[in-house]
Amino acid sequence: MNELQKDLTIPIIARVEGEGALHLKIHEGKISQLELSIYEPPRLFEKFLEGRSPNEVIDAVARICGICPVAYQMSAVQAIEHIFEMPVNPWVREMRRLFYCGEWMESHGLHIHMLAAPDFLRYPSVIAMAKDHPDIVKRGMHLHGLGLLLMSLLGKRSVHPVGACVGGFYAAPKVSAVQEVLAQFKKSLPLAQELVLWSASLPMTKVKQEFTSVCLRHPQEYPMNEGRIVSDRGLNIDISEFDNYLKESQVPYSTALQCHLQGKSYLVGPLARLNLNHDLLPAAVHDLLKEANIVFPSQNMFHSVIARSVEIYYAMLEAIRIMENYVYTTTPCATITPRAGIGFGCTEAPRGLLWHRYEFNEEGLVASSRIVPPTSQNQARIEEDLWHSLMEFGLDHSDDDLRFHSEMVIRNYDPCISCSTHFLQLKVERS
Amino acid sequence: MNKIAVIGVGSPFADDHIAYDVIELLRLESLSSVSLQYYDRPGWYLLEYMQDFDTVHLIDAVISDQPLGTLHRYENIDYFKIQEAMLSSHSFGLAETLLLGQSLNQLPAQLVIHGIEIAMAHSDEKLLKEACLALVERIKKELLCSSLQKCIKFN
Repeated sequence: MNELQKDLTIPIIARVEGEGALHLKIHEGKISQLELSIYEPPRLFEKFLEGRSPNEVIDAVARICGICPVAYQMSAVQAIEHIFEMPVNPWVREMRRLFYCGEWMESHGLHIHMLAAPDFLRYPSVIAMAKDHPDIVKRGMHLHGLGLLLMSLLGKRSVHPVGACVGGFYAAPKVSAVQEVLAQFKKSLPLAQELVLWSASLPMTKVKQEFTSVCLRHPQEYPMNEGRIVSDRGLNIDISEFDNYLKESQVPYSTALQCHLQGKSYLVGPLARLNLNHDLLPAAVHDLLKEANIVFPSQNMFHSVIARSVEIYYAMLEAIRIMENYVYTTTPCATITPRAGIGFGCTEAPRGLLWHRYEFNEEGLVASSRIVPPTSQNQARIEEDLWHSLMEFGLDHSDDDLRFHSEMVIRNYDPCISCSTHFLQLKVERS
Repeated sequence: MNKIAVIGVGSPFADDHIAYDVIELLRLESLSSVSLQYYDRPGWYLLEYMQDFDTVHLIDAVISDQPLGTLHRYENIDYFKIQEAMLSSHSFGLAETLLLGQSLNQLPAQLVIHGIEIAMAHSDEKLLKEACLALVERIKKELLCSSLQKCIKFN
């Protein structure tokens, strides 16, 4: 097959969460077909949840993802409390934010060091990279570990935590336990500052792309657990209106649904959050960004790695603030009065907007549920990015080079295929 | 002083909790100078848990082609074969963690990995209990031999 026409398939996309493939058709030096195929079987979680009681839902959805269980629990808890018309007390609100800080640190810490950094520094894996850059890897492990510590503080364990429930938490951490974690966070804060400066120094393209950023926006704080869904193109809706604007659809080559905003792809995740909420970051973060010579909003997709580092630093500052003001309570959980109805939950998972909708029946059990994870929302954007990035890179490169470049573009989104349901075999057809 | 730890890893579910059972059995023994620890799927953070020790005995469940309850023992982690380019955080298991530790030069001076063969689904509890007891005896013996060798060397 000549260079004008070829088919390239990446059969299994490496260093992403879950299993997917990329099929690329090149005809007369142009991409004629590009399909990001997610082929993991559907996991049917929404069906499993039917007939379950409120707190069974909270424990079950934590199993959807080993990396971002808190996000699934927080979106679910918000939707269920919406149905039960439960106000959230200030203690619970702060602790949920603290819980989320832990997950952002844990998830971003893993992605930056284990999955993305080897791309930027041209290593096949973090194991190979560690030989030449041990201090960078150790710093990543340490920050990731602090995130796990925070998740365990409130969730009782970091993997599939079990501490959260509808109404709050099963138990409040002791003041001494919080003080111990706080001391470690204060001591390690300079590491997060170093991380931001290091990520801003990584070699990366300066190419900008046109895309729409979508995320939550809260009037007073950088969004985690609450807010309206906004975009940089004028969208500003309540989370209950998600379905009216953000439409899921099936493509024949993927088991994950794709999601479009008024027919167009969009971006969710740390870069989208920073693009739309940078004004809500504290002065300390702005000072660091100035030192790093990085400006948000940014249309450079590879600034996602910097956005993740910034969010780790922010999560540490926010966690320190919350822990410094921590007060023990004997009532960490409000009483539940189940009732029938429909409720919505939408929070900012590390990878982006995570939307849940539940309908409960008169017995207080799930009648139906819908979960829209960030990776399915980013899927169409990833395809669009690949199209632009591969044309910019040049299609006359070898299949191996095209494969590496494609995987780097995809990994930059930190896709969680297992969540979405479910990356990369690259199949290139040149004709 | 040689700081020694026996560390079990695994999830609390199904037969993967077998390392936890071994650690609990070891707690019933008089191993006063040995730190006994158990971690639920610690990932690469295991390296931080091990870094204060000179000798670490690691226990984990193993699935290979051997009969249920078979005891495995490894001292050379080069034995472990992984698909390095395919690593993801979901797939970062014990072998990957130890190879990362080797790259970082952050492994204990003496590292012994003990495995117990389990099955994917819940299996023969009696057989696995016997395997746990056999592993407890093996670890006790190795700890004793190790301390005796040090005594002989010292004298």
